[in-house]
Amino acid sequence: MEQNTTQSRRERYLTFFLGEEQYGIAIDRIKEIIAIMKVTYVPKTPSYMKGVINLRGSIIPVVDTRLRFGMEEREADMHTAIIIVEVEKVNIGFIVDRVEEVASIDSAHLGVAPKFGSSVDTDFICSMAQIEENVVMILDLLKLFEADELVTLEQIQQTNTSEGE
Amino acid sequence: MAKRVLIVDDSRAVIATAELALEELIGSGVIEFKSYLNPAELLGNLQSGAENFDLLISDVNMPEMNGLDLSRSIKSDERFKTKPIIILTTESSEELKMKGKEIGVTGWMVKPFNDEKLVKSLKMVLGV
Repeated sequence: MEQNTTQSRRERYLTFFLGEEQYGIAIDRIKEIIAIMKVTYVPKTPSYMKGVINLRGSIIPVVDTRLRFGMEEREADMHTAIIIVEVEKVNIGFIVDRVEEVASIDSAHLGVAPKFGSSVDTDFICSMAQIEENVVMILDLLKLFEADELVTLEQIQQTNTSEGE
Repeated sequence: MAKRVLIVDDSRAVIATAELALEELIGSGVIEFKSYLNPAELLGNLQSGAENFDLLISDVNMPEMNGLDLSRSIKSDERFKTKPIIILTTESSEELKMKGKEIGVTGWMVKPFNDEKLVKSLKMVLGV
């Protein structure tokens, strides 16, 4: 068979698309994948903060990943998904254009992400790998948020959770 | 030897969700997991002998072929007659479930599914 998913040196990533670009997140951080659902706007939050969702009673802040990456906003369609990820004990939802697959990448095939100069913030891309003809950018979710942003997300979660009770 | 689990679903998100739910069983080598987006391709591979399985998880509504028609075709083949098939679908009508029973599917799970329930059903069916 074409892939052996049980070899120990292989790391597993969930890959997804934003436009034409493919990204990957280590699966141990992923809580679940859900279809796009109603997002409640929360005032006075950064523009990439889409709001919060109520997932089976848990209030989860949701980030528009396109906006966070400086891309254009896009209308949701049938492929739009929210990937729920745990970052520093905070559950955060990331809206993505479409989920692709769970991919095994040999750690030896992970390359260092190129630097685009100090004016471009690409610190959150921790490595790059090739899957078939696509280059996949592996994200370091911790670096996607500044420490104070994580605090903001946690506060949004707590404020809305207590209001909902 | 690892049990071979196949999933056929036209949604990549559903396949990824199932794969994440089964990650522990995949990682520990209890099962090997292979996915198909196209039921016709799966059926072709099964019929040609290029594919085999110990458990198949199938969606119902897919563009190329209905999951129940797929199950019927698979079950009519002597080689796969006794192999378990679990239906994983948004469909919950009793009429369809009855149809599934007649065809001989082993289980029926409604999406969105619970990870633990999927793992439990799979372990039970495979005896692992």
